[in-house]
Amino acid sequence: MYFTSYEFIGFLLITLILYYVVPKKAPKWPVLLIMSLLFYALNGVGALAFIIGTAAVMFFGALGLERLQEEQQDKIRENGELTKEEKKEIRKRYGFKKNLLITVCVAINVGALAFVKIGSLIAVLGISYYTLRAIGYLVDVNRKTVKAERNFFKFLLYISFFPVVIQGPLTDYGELTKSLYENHDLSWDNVGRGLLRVVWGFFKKLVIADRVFVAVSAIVENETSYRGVWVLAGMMLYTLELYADFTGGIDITIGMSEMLGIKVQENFDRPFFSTSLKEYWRRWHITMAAWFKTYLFYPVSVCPPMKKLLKFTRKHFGERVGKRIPVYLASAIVWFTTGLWHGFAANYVTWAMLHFAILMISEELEPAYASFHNKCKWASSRIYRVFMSLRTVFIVSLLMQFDIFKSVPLFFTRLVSLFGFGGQGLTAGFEAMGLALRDWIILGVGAVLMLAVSLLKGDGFFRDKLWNKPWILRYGAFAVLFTAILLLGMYGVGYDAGQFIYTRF
Amino acid sequence: MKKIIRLLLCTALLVTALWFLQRLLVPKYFGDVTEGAFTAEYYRDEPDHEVLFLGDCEAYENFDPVYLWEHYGINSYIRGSAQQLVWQSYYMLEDALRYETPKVVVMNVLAMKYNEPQSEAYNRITLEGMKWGLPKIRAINASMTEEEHFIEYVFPLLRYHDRLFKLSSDDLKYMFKTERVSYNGYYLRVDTKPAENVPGGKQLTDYNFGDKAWKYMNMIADLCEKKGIDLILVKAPSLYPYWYSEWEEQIEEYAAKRDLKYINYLELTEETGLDLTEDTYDGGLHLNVYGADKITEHLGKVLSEEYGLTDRSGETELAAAWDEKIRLYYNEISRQLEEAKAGQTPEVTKTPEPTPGIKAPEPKTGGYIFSFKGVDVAMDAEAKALTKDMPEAKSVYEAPSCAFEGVDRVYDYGSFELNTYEVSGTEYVSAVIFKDDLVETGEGAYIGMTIDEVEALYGSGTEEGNGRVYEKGGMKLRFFLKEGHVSQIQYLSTILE
Repeated sequence: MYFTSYEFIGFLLITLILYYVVPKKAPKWPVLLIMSLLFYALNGVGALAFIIGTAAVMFFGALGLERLQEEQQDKIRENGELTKEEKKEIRKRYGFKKNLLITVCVAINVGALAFVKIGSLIAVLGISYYTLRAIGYLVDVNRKTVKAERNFFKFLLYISFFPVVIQGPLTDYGELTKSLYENHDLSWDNVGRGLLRVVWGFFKKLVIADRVFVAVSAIVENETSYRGVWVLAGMMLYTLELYADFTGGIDITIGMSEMLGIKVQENFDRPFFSTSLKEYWRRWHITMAAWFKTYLFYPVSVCPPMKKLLKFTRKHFGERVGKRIPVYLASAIVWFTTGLWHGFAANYVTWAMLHFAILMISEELEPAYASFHNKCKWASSRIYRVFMSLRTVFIVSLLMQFDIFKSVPLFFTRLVSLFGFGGQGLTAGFEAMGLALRDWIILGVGAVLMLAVSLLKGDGFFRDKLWNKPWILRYGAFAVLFTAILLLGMYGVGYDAGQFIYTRF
Repeated sequence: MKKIIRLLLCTALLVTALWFLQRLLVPKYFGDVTEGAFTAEYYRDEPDHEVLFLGDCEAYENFDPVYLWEHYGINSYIRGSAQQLVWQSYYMLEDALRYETPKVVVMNVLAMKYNEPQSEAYNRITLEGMKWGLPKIRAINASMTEEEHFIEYVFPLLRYHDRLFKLSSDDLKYMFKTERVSYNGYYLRVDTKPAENVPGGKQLTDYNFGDKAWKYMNMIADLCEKKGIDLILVKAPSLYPYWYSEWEEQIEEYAAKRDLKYINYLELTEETGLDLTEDTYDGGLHLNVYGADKITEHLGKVLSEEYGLTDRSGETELAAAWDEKIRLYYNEISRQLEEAKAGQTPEVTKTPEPTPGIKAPEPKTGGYIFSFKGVDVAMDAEAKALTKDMPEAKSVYEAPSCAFEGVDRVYDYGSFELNTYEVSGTEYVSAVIFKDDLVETGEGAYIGMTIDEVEALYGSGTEEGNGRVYEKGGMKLRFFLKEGHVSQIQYLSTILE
């Protein structure tokens, strides 16, 4: 059931009604659990076993972890007269047990993920997302940043919460559960604000993303005739599609959660305004980048073999270089995994490793940049900042070509062709993309709207600002968006209903 | 409280605006593809008919209620619609019975050949005009193709939103206005295009009508029985689509079993005096008014003599209503005659603007290819590009679809037929059918070969009815067998399945 299907809109309505008719005294979260499991089952009953399995393993794993933590505490506290060595010994013993438990739990889940992704025998929607969220929870319990959940059904709700289950954001347990389990009363503010965000998301997806999709598909299918400067057009169009598609999906997710009174983390902060690739990864798919940083980069960086390596490199390569090698190695591992997470395929891994390479080179060149910016005053001008943003967008867009062509050799062919001539003429090229002039106009207006919202501090912030304006303005914005989706959306008979791109990963 | 009232008011305003938009965007079916307005027009007529016709274009283009009134005083109405499927006929009848109980129902049987929902466009034409009620809801549920959603019938704006860029002045003109488009459901045509070179039917793997078709046929018969209505089955005298003897046998058997009258007008050309060199306007698919009147004359006699329907022309109110219809009917005849004199033929086919997202088919060059005089014919290839390099066909038969969606063509090359279909005005190959052993497949198979020889060339394939099917590259190659020998070979596109 796609978010953009009639069925889902009906499903959401029913969920809202059920959630708000449950009397205040009774807990409301079971409604969300039932609806989430229903939503998930409607996408494939077989997949339900996977998600419940994951939830069970992590639920009991976390309880076990907490018990070990308590035992360890008790052992140390009971015996006030333990020597430092003895305490260390206890900690070591329990440390081993805890690590073993975590490893087993994570291995089971990553095994299931790999089985689904590589075997492709069964489609398990959202498994890439909920597996990571589940691992994050276990690690948080181990780090004592959150307490283990005692109610399995509550935990199952965290894992399966329908707005986030199939394409994120990778909400962390501590954040989401601040508002997930408590009762929320019907408030026009919540519902209205959420709805406004939802229609904005639908607008991005149905009016913009699914429209660009037609042109992008044409380019992918006839890549040989779209050479030369057309490569650039293809890059720009896919970037537009992915932005509208992914951020639109997240707008819908965040908006419908808000309608239920639940706060879901933002996943974007106007990523295309980033002046460097490093900054971009703090502003695009924020929760994913944060997850990999928190739950992979840090643990890998401080694991014993890394520490040994650091010692070794410091000794042999000196302080400056020696300190970096382990960091870069950890970073490479993270990027490699990020690539695999997107798909067990060469194109995704190459995509990720190129990101890694560019990031590493920029890191090395950092001092050079700093002195350049110090010397050249114009480098801190607004225009130069725009240039830097465009440069970042170019790099990102170029690498995104791995996602649409799904082939490493083809990527490089396209890259070479970018600097050559050829390809078809302007008129013929545009005609073969399958969009009429009016579609290009709609896309242009849509892109300008998205840009304007970004300039006004982004989707969430702008919506809040709009919400505080006189009622006629917010209602007007809703009515215009709603009508635009109905009239200009690419949906219904004769259109390929498109699932969100990020549900593939 | 104030907030709630404000919200409700605004919502009401938005809904009203959207309702107006919807009125603007739905197809109006006046002036263009008028068949789409037939279903709704029924409700404008006083529900007092002795005879109701059910069926597809073979019903509404071959029987003439005006003639039936003028010559027999029988008040009848055709609840026909383009490609009306049997279940749709059933629900049309159920719906009509909410308003009236006719004495006789005449049902055309061609639609028995369809056992599955066929086309979204025809579903729309048939169902949209029905008044809301259980019959309509059930009809929609029984008819929807995979791409359709019930809610799009409730809110047609969801279906027709992309007409925003295809609006014509008619959409404004008929936003709230309707116009008469039929004569008690009859589609009137006076022009003539003789039936020539009508292709025979290509062999089928299965001639049995489907379960769903039979189920609803039975329901029609049961409902008529329950309400004391006499049911007459008819097969209109249309030559195309081809009416197989195997189909005829099933209908005859059924009529006998249920004790129903069955009239096959294909076999009554002598009694009716029908002459398809002048009584049809599109080469034998549908009759013009002269042909329809010959058939109606015969049916009128049956209705009055065998079913005791009496002459109601003495009823003043009814007669007055008919007088008006008759006046318009003859006006239309003179208008069309004048148009014909001026050399214009009323437009028969309308090619709808291509819907975004619907792409031209891919030629199946990876499938089995038939080669003729150096031209390789792949299924779903653009036909004009091929036929221009081939010798001229002996004849070309054009079969316009009932209401729109282009024209199917059959090019006869003597030893084989090339069939084509249209998408957005361009012709594509749908089939090549061998007729004699003077042509061979690319692999060397020909009519008359034994099954063993075919299997030596192609392998065992899939057994299907009385033949073998080989699928490759998104197309099918089908061999029909008679007593162990190939009796027909068909290259088939899978797009139209």
